[in-house]
Amino acid sequence: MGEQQKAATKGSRKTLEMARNTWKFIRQDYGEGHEHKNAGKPVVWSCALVEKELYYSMGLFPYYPEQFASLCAVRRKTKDSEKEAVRFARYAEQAGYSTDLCGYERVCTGYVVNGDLSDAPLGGMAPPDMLVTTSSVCDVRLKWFEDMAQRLQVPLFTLDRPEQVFEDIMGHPKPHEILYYRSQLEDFLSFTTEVTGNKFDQDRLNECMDWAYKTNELRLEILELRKNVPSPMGSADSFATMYPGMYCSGTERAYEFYKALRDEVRAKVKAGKGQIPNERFRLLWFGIPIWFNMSIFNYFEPVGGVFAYEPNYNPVPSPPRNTADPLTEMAIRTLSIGTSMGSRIRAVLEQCTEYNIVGGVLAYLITCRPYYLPVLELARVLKKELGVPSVFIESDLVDERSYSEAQVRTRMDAFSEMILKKMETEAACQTG
Amino acid sequence: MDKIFAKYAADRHDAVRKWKQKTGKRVYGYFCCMTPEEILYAADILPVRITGTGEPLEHADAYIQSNACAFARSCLDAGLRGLYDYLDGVVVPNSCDIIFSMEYFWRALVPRPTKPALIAGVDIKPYVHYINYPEKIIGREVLPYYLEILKGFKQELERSLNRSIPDADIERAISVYNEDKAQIRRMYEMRRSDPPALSGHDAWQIVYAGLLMPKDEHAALLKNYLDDLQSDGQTAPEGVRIYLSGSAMDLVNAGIYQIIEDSGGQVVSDDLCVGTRAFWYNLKQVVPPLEAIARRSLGTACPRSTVTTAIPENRWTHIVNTTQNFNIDAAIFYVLKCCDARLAEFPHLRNKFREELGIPVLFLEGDYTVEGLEQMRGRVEAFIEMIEG
Ligand code: SF4
Ligand code: SF4
Repeated sequence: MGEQQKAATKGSRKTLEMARNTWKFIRQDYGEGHEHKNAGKPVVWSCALVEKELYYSMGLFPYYPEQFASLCAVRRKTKDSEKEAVRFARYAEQAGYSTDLCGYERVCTGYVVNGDLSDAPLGGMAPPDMLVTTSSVCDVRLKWFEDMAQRLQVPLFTLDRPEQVFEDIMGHPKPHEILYYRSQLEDFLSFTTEVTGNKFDQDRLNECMDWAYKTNELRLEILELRKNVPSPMGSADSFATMYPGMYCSGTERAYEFYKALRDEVRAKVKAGKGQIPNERFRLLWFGIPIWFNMSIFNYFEPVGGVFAYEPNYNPVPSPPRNTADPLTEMAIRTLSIGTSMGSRIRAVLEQCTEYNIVGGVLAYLITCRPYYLPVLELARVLKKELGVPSVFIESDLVDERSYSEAQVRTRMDAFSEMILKKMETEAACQTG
Repeated sequence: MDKIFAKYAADRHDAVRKWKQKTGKRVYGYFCCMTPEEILYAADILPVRITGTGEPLEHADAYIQSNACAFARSCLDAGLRGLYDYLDGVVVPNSCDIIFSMEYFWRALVPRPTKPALIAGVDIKPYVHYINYPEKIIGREVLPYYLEILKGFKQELERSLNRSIPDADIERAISVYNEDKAQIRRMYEMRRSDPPALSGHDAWQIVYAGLLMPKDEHAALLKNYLDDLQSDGQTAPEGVRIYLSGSAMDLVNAGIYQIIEDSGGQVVSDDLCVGTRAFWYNLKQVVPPLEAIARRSLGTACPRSTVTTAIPENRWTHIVNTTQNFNIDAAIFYVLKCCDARLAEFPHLRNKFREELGIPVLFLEGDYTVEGLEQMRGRVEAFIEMIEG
């Protein structure tokens, strides 16, 4: 397996300048975190779904174990060694963690089990003063962070975020849910003060939320631009550029990043330039990417296929700013997003029409329950309601040991053939 | 053992159908011990726990991935096959990622007895009732929040049934449930002796039957059974005293009891939702009834929940409570593949067992098949042999 694996898994070819710039952004960010820590300031390890403005307004530097795991999926210690993600996952497995557990969890737990937090890509995450997670969408993050807190003997705070069952991807949270979640946010602030001594400053929070709001508006604008034919920015570019928006939301540097990105995409649209010269069909990617093999996003390009849309990491419209009560605003913002199977499936259906999708590539992420659970049903509904066929890519999201390149290629080849044939038949019907 | 327990355990669908025919009352299915059963009981409904069959899937494979919890897939398959066609409603708490998805699957796919009653886009007589059970069970606002959820559930039920559910009826239901819990606790007490008064498998069967039959009937039968057992002075065979911790324990998974007993072990206590977590803590009768129900749920140390303490230890505390004075020789973790909350906490709990209680631990990862269980037999035998020395 080893040799073939190493050759087969590689990065994607990005079409946007800003996508190529992100790596610099990430490296700088990791470095800043270490400087922050060295200056005696507090560091938090956080689940990716927590509202980042909380950290920036409280003077915490955040690292995100999920993101760290995806980083480990592409880095090796030396040219000839296995990927860091695999090395860490092995440590976790030796310590008794099941191979069926989420790849993100195994990688980060193995990293913690290993003991030396600097023995990792980019010098690892700076040692945490606290851990913060949320109950939303996935049980693993709850238990995984609990477990890391116990191992590291570092205090943990959990934001309990009620799951939202809406008809659509967005809806109206109930008053008691808003109150409850707001109380969690308040408790988080007191917890942070207790651990770090840093005091809450509402003006500072408002400032961060202003940046987040403005960044979100830019990201929405980019999403809208991405609907153009030919597709000016595909899933590879989108995943490559999500870091600032996902992890640094609430900062000016994230805003500046998306401003430049928006300008670049806008210019491309104006020039009528797509991801590839001859776009023939547009695909959906559902799920977290298989981080160790992002080249999958370029796979269909030789036959004119582009990934035009992916629901992951993308923004949804925010409620208006409420500077008098930013915590309520934040609670409403968070709880307006549907998290149930029904909400998530509906959202994809809607977007497939908006983005002219003709086929779905659904990542069947074998260790990520929230993402593998809906895929069969999503495929069924896509077919039934929109006539859109799907193909499944089976793999862990960071642990390449479970990935079979040959099988994936065979499936994807058959899939693109089928789509092209379907298009030919449809074209023949129209002209005939 | 009383043949009614055995009948419910062996052929639950037939037993419940007969009950329904005889009484003309409604039956609701539910997924997890967090379900506020007392509210259903107060509304004259028999709540029955939904479990799987262990049989090869006929339909669910088309909708839910094979990596997902085999227990939950089997439950859905049973629903799709019509094995639960006697249910008038289904209650889905947000117990784990997989069960949360049942809110969608049962609503969208399982045939229901009545049509939706849509008003302004809202189904006022839903077949599936969802309960947004908090995941952080201690905290400043969690109780008022959860009370609102329970009120909403009660209101939905009242609308569906066109009747009110007065507090007094819920209070009565709580006392019926408390009496049943008291009898089960008594049964666990009787397992502290060496050898225990009854086998682990018999005790499990009794708890399981209690999830399928009216609690007043269950409590009365159990009381008689335990009285007889006490006066006869009967005991189960001696064996290495095992603490069993694991995922949903239904008829299929319970095969593990047999394997343990065949290998010379005897389960005397557990950390199971069809076990100590369902009855260990009584409902207080001093507070308004919904609050009593809320407090009970929030006091349960389910693997999927968390607490607010800086370094969470509630799971370990429950284990300490349920191992104390049971003279445990060894612990067996029988966890289903995909049961992430349990898989994630296992290494921590295993270390605690070893270091703090000096108890050896065997870990088994199950796939919800009889063959899978059989394959574990050798490991269980070797483990028990090792303890016997
Ligand atoms: S199980 Fe999935 S959603 Fe949960 S942490 Fe892992 S990758 Fe993220
Ligand atoms: S056995 Fe585990 S994964 Fe399956 S339904 Fe129960 S808690 Fe969820």
